[in-house]
Amino acid sequence: MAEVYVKKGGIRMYVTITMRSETYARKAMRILNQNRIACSIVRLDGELAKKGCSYGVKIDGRARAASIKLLSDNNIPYSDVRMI
Amino acid sequence: MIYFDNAATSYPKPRAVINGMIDAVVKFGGNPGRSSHFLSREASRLIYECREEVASLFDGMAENVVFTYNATYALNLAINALRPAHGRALISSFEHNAVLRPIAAGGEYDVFDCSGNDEQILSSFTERLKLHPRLVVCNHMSNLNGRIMPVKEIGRLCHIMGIPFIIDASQSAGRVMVSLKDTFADAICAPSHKGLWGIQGGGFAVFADKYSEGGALAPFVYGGNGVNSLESSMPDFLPERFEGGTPSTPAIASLLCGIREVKQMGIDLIAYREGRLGKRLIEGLSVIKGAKVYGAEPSSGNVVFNIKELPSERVCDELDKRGFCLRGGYHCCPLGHKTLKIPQGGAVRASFSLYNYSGEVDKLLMAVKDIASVK
Repeated sequence: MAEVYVKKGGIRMYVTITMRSETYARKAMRILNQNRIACSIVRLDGELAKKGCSYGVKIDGRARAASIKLLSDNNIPYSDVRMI
Repeated sequence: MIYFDNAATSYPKPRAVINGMIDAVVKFGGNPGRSSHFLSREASRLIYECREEVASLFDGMAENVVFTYNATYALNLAINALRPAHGRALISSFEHNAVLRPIAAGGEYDVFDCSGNDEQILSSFTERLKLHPRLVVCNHMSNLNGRIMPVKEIGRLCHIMGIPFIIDASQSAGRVMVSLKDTFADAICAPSHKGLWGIQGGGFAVFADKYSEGGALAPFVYGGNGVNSLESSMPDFLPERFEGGTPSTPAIASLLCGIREVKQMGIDLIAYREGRLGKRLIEGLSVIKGAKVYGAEPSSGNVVFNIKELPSERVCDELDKRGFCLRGGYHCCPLGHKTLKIPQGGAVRASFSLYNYSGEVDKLLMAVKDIASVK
């Protein structure tokens, strides 16, 4: 998967990965942190929260590909991956 | 005061457990999983850490740890989820009412005899399997005499026959190792407030890895949990499928600290020390005229006995006057009392923890001798 990190006008871009619950978001955070990828847990809104209260992990856009691979390798389900 | 009622609830609690509980109230007082502010996030972090600790203790996955309010609640939840509608169930003859009552309420059931050795227990179990049970529930450690059941063999047979298997680890959690994978168990249930040293108001069910996608399992309670809140049904994955309403964060925090204490101390050491006290009590009672021990298990921290024909509650009252905390009666376990052939009136139970020592057992023996000689 190609890196999609973009820098616009000096503003760092982030990616949110939608998780099925906060429990899974914390599991994802644990795996990412263990692999030296900084992330935080965020409550999602708008399009990403169609079912109501939803959670995701927010990572640096440069770590998108590595993060998604880690989640897949560890069988952690996720849905949308969006730039913010 | 000498406390020998640890099978009912452990006391005293380690200082780290008390501090953990206080921190949960004072520092992490937000509602976990509900809000994005710091206090809510910290409460959620703490709860997830506890899921990880419970999972590592039982060889499971953090997301399959479902928090409840006690072991009875966890057992009801697991039985409700894993028992096919009106399916016949099979339980051991050491089951607590936490298992017997939900099983009896849900349809027909059979009981396999646990009065003999492991070989005889497995023989009785195998015989009852011919009745085609759709669910098996088995105590890991008796709350009466601490008898350890052969759950690995029982689980293996259930696995071969495709029968869901639930282990009640209420007494053994924190005192004897038990693994989801080694026992092929579908779920293990336990409270936080006994061998894991948490406070009352906490418990959990750990489901086997295959249940991560828990959509086929019937929820036990319905309500909000901060996930998919616009939907009218419970989420179809664990643990949120089974968790409705605000959890008891202080109880979970205390459990987290309790498990860490247990791990630091070592389960083998805890079992050894409790068993040594049990052995000392059994040996001491054996030379007191009129004292009778039921189903003596030499390496157990639970001992049930009577003094002459005295009602157990009266003996407990006498011991209470002398500063001892023990439990009389039937211990919510009529099946176990029948298995051990304990007479009407129940028995006195002494149950130890890591915080008891041999001198306290000697004092109890002196008190028993005193009661036996006077009454």
